[in-house]
Amino acid sequence: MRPVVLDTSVVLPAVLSPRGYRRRFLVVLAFGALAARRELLHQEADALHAKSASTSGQLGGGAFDALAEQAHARYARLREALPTGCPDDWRLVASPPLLAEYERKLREAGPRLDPTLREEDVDVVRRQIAATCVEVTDDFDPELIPVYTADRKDDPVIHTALLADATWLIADDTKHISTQPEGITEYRLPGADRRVSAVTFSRFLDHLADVDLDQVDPGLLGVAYRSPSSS
Amino acid sequence: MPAVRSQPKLLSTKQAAELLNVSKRTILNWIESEKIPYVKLPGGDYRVPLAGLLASLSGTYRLDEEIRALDERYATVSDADVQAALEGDD
Repeated sequence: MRPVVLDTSVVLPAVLSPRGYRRRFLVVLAFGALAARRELLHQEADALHAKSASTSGQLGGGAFDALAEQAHARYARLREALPTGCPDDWRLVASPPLLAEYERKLREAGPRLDPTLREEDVDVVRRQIAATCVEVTDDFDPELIPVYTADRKDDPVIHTALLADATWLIADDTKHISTQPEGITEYRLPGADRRVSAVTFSRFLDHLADVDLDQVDPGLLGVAYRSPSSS
Repeated sequence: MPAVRSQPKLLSTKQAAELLNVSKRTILNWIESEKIPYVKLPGGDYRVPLAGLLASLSGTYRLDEEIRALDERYATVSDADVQAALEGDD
């Protein structure tokens, strides 16, 4: 499993630019989410049953088995459409403050891209990103996290990547990321033996050896979420 | 410091609402209409599993239709276009 955290500068182009390379990687991440989800759903079913048993709580809602079957059907459909051998172990991770930052940035910068951008469009983008996440870290107060950079607005994404124990933090905001060839910027969590490598998207591609994004149809993102019963 | 996940995460309705930026009432509606998995605790509070909640998004919304509509609107938008708009925010 390879957890990855995306900065706003990568995730918003991935959602809003339907033919770009960042979108193609988002398709790979959606594939990874579907691969992970079936197992996670079974684990959660066990946890929910345990919680119910220990508290005399009442179980309800959507059946885990049905959700797991749907995830598997979507996974199988996507696997057929993706290049042979496309990896399914990339995992998009976010945090509540990072999801809020994606949204804040879209709300502020979106009208420069599209003056007709509506509030409901912001909700749609947030849903697309959330649905592609495999994991969301525990919440944290952005004011109380360590200082990683000179710009506090940029710290939550780094903190999220460290909490997530991410393999990579990918960011095209080059204020805090090396743009040199082979450039990797390392951030460490103070007081803990944890670090994350931050790279630009183009540098990240050098490390994405097991899939050729040219062969990934960026239009497949919708397939990842299409009902298994629809054609 | 905890890593990503050592055990399945069960969210309160408030946490679930904040995660998806919907109202707590929306989460309760999904619970009442059995759209998302949950456990109702004896005190009346609910716990919602994270992966179940995220997996259920494909049922509570038409995500594929939403992405298709966005893609049609932004068919000619490039990564550079989006990044240029974002850079104006710095």
